[in-house]
Amino acid sequence: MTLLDLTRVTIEPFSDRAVVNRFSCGKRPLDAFLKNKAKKAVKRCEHRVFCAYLDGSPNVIGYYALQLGNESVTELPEANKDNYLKNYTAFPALNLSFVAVDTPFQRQGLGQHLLMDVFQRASAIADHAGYFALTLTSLDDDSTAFYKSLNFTIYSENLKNPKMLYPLEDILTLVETIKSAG
Amino acid sequence: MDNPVILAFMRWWNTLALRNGKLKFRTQREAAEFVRRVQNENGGPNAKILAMRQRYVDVNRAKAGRDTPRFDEGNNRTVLG
Repeated sequence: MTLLDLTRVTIEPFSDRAVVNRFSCGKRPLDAFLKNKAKKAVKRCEHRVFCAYLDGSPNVIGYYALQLGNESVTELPEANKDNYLKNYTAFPALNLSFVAVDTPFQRQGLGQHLLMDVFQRASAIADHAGYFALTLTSLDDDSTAFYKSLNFTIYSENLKNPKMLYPLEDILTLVETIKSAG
Repeated sequence: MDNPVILAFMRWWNTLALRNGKLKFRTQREAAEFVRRVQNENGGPNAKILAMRQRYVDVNRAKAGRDTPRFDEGNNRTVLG
């Protein structure tokens, strides 16, 4: 098996030039989002989608989608309504809604490369808006184990697809510890 | 507990419970404390994620180096003297 040369990969915002009909990562919801919903989601500003291309080819070989949001956490009934600053009902977070790699390019480091691109972007977003963590919903046991190995923590209870988070402060520490070029 | 109706109900109930899971915090303050606790327990980024970040930075450096024209490339020529 030849390893993918990641220096030949470019990551760009989703655009009309993206050819998505050949994309298949083996997980139907992830394929369906890219093929049927990504364009509309970007147009409506619901998500920002970033696609990976090889050597300037228009074929998408990987992608991820980001969304700013907050988990709706129920307001405590005994909450002091006067002191609203102490009782926000929001959990501000950057949500990694989707991340996927085309089957022929899997297990060659592209997924990790995309995740580190997310971290780079998460650190840039933190310059402009405050939030607690990068969140995601794990698709299956394999992905949960992978994210756990990176120190992502489950913050939901009794969910088949657990919600996981990685603290923003750790992202900033990581980006500060190993600085990118330029 | 062999009643098929009860078993079917339990299966349906468990499916519903799995779908409607709760979060481990209820307010933003609890969420902040939860994230802070996670951060303290993690003790910063671990070796695996540091290695991933290093590879990402190395790839981008290599790409930037390749994409930057050398001094004797391109059409920008300065006539000296």
